[in-house]
Amino acid sequence: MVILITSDNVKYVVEKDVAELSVLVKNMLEDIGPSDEPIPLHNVTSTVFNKVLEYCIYHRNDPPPSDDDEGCASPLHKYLASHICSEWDQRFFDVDQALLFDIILAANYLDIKTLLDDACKAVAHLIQGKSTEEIRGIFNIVNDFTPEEEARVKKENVSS
Amino acid sequence: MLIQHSIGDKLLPEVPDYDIFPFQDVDDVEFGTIKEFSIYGITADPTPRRLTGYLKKRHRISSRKAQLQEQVHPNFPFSTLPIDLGLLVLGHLHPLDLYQFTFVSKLMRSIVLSKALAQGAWRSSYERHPDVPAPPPRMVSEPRWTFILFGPDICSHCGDRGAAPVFALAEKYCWNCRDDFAALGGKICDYGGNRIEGSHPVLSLIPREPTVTGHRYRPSDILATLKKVTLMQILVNYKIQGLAVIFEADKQILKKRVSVINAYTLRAKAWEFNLLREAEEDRNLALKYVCTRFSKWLCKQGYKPWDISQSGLRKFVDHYDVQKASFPVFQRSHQLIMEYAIHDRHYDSNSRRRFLTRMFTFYESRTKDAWEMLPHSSLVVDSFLQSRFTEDMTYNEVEQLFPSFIKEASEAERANLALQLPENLRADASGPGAMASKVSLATAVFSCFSCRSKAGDILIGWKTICRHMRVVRISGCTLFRFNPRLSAITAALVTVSGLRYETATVDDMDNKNDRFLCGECRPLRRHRMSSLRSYTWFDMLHHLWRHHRTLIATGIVPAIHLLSSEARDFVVDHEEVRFRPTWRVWRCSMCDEYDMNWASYQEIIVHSKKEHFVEDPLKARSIEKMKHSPIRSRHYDFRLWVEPHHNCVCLRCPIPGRRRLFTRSLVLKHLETNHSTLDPQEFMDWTRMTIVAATTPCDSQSKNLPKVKNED
Repeated sequence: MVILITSDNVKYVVEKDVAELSVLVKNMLEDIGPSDEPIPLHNVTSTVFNKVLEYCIYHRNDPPPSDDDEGCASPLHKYLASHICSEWDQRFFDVDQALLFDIILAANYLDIKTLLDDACKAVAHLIQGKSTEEIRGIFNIVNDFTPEEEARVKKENVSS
Repeated sequence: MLIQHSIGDKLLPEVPDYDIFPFQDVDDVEFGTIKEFSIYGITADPTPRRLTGYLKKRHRISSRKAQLQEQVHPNFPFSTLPIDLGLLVLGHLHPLDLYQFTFVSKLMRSIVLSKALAQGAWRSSYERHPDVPAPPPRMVSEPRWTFILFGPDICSHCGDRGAAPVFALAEKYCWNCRDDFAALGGKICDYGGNRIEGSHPVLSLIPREPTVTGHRYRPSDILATLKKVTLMQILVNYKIQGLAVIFEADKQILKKRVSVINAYTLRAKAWEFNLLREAEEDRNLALKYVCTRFSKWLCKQGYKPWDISQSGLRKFVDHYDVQKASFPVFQRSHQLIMEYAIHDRHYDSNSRRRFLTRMFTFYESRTKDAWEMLPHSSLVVDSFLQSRFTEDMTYNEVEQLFPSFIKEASEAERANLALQLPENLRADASGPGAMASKVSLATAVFSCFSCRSKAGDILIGWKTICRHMRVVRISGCTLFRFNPRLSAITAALVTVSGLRYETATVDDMDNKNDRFLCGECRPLRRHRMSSLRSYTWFDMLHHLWRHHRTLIATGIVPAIHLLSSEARDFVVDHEEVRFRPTWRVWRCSMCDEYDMNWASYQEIIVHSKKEHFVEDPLKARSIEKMKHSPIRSRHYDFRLWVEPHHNCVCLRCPIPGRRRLFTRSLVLKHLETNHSTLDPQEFMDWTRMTIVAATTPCDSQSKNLPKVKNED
């Protein structure tokens, strides 16, 4: 068992194989060796960590992502990986967008590649098929183009 | 007369039109160009603009369908996300979405178009969407390629609209600039004025764009390469040491690189071609939808269906690029619709005739059982203009009078035909109605004397005559004569079936559904067994007329065998009815709706898209073309084995349609091997059936049927 403490001082006792899904925790465990010392997670609150833990427990038996995913994986492999998302995952990411944002940051901090990838996919799913105006509305982005600039930008060739 | 590109401007929020019309991006409306008037009205090929529109529409609809069930939580703080994480998100987008993202804000644009920052995101995007052709490596950046694929159709040189992509050069050129900057191979000359043809060695060193008329190259590239190659060759000729080897190696590397670019170009062209085809189909569907709705509203305004020209309406919709079939659009363009689609009611003889023909066509297509009621239009229109029409009659009066006249004319025509029947067939007909009904007797066989078509030889029933009138000749056949010889054969068929030939109608014979064997044909011998084909009564008549006409001409009624009821049931179980047109051979692989009733390609595509949300229905995956193409015959050619006599059926075989006929010895063997029955009992495990119930004429019973041997 591994003890983890979130930024708001909530203590979690987590099984080792679940905790080791996070590369950050795994490296720390390797560094400090066998001990009962709690591991502080400075950038993660308990609310977010609950979700992260839920994800890790569900995916604890998944095969670890290989290095192939980064470099020499075939386009078909990448295509399948990017499009196939289980029903559980879809329900998991159907949350408030502020929480989704925090999950991305937490996954990045904890270095959980699969969670980060799935969370990014969930955000990308929000953008897909939207017009420029709709994207601005979803992400609260201010349109700083003047109408003339916008027209010019749309007409101009993207340079090679 | 020209109007705005899009009559209805914003399309997306209105759901009914949303998944039908080519997508018109809200932001792109201002770039819409006004098309020049074409005398044909409808363009043969969709413009590149339509391709982009179709792409956007297809992508957006599929995305929105996927998002339909999900909650939408606004205000995701994307701008505050670290850049590396933001780019990770963008790497999951479709290239079209990524391109759209560049217009969100200045900051986002600078990030997404930065080669140093966003190249990974662009590459991931293309790798994750292999359906979009990727850019050729080391030739063009991903953002530039995406602009070529999805960007507005603006010419790279002159900035005009209507440009089409030239993938090999990663440029877009309009019609005028294309020949200057992407010229056809045979039209480029070298410095000496000689044409550079397809086998020229320089052409293999330059990327090319395949087109229908040949390959296109950039002329400046050709001339520059030509200059370099010539210079190098001169130096090689001067025998500078090692240069020949270096030159050859360099050429090989260049050729290899160009072949890679050509392969990528070819893939992009195939992608574009498929999309253009789909866009055209989509456009046609949209046009049809608009025309139907506009016609409906015109009818509600008081115009009659025969006042509306469907072709004119289609011309209008296409010419002004109508994007919405909403009522406001209809109102705004009402004046133009009137000009294009509403026929003026001039009062000359030709326009009167056209008006009546259109009205007749409407009744023909809309009225229930129109075949039963309507003869050829020219017949009705001519007789109406001659008998009922007066010069002081208004169009409204004509509209009121014409429908009832069609009915009367039809009945009169039938009564005229019935007058040709012999006395014994029309003996009990008292009034004109009863006389007209005699045309539907099975023995009332007519032949057409207006045309020489084989289809006009045997016409039985008013429906068949009407169909022949309109299908065979444009002006319509009008001269029909009673055929006494065929009538005598039909009478024999009717009598052997057990009906009275004076009263039996076509429907009676159809309902009886008997099967016959020809008594004149020699059995077909194959694999030491002889067989005869079974026929329906109508097919039997056709067969006798076609193959035994010489016999009929001598006045002899050919021999016909009637199958017994059990043999008839057996044959019917094994027949496959196929009287569908050749194009109706498609069925859906995802449901059973069209399993029994195959559909046309268009119908099945629409079904697949609407019911199963398949964007691109693929043959053998979503839709299926049936193996057997339809045939002219109404029934599958089912043959009965007559020698050795196959008259035994295995009762252990569960499905009647799968049962077979055997000889006695074969059925016993079948029961032993297939059902493990060692001691089969007659009537329990197998049964014997009578094949032929009756023969006409009676003395020709064993003419072509061998005697049944008793195997017991």
